[in-house]
Amino acid sequence: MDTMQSLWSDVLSDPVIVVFFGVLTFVVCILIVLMVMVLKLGTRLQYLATPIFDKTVKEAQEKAEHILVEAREQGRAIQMSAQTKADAFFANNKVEDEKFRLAQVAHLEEITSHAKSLLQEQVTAVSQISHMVTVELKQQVQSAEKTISDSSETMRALFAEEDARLKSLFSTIESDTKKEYQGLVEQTKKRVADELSKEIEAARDAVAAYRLEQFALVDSEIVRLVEDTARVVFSKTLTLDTHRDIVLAGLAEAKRQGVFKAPS
Amino acid sequence: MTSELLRTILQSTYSRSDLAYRISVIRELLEFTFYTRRQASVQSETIDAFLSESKRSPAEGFFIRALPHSFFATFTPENIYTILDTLTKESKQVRTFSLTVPVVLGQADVDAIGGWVRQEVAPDLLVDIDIDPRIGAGCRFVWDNRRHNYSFEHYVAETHATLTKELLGTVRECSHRTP
Repeated sequence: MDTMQSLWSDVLSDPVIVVFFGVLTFVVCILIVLMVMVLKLGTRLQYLATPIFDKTVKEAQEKAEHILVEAREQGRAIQMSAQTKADAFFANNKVEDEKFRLAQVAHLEEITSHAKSLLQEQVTAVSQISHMVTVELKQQVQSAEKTISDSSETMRALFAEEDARLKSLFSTIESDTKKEYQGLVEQTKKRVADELSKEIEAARDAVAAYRLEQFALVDSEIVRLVEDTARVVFSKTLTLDTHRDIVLAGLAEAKRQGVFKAPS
Repeated sequence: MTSELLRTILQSTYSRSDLAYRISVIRELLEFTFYTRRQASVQSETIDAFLSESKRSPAEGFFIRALPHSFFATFTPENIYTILDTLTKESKQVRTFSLTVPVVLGQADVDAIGGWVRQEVAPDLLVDIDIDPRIGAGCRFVWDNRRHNYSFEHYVAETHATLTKELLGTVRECSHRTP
């Protein structure tokens, strides 16, 4: 507190500082007053500016409407003139098209008649040529027929001659072959008979040996079969008492044979 | 003590399977007496009730009733399992006579064979019976670590020569007669 009082008294003792503070205070007051005035004037200006703004907007709207109406009028006029010109253009084109079509038809008819005359000439020429070719071919065929008939006579004579020659040759071969064949057959018969008798003899010996072997096999199999059958029959047909007795008989035989003797 | 009990059972039991079965029947009778009926000892009425309830065969009934009273007097609720376990162990020590037969024999037949073995071979033997239909008839047994065969095979081997001769003679006769 004392420090603050001494500081304040030091500051106030300097005149420059006092003036500075006074000016600063005055400026702040002026600023406050101006702020208040601006705020009040702003509100009033708003009240004054709004009717002027409305009037200006209204005038601008009226002008815009006027411009739009004029533009519509102009547009309608342009459209009508364009329509008229287009109709005239289409009508002219129709006439032109009709003229063109008639010219094309006349041209086509001319071309068609010219083509017909050309085709007629061609047909006539082709028929003349084909008639000439037919005549020529007939002549050729006749000459060919003559040649063929002459050749066939010659060929027939040749075939007859050859046929006679072949027949005589075959008959010679046939007789020679028969003789040879008969000799061969006789030889083959004899050989086959010899071989066959040898084979039969060997087969007989083999069968005899096989029979002996099979008999021995059958003998052993019969005995085994009978034994097996008896075993099955005994196990199924013997009564329990008989089984018991056979067991006891077996044990008794074992005792007789000294199986149960204590080792000495 | 248990040797005496085992000897008592063995008097009328000849096969190992019968011995094991009868020990289990005795166990069930004692359990019935001590735990179901809550009696202190086995009486004849208890035996009748047990046989009736458990539907045992007459052979078991005969065996149980044939056991002396002193046999059951050995058992108490405290020592029943101890004695029976010892009895089972001792039963496994009894000497065995292994016998193979072709069919399942009845109890009387088994007892007959077992009785013969005890009388003719050794008095302390239990017969251990096995079934093999392939032997046909007779038996096979093991004694002194050797196998002995007195089955159908044995009798056929003994008569094989005669059988073969007779059989083949008949076959030859038939083949000569056949055209």
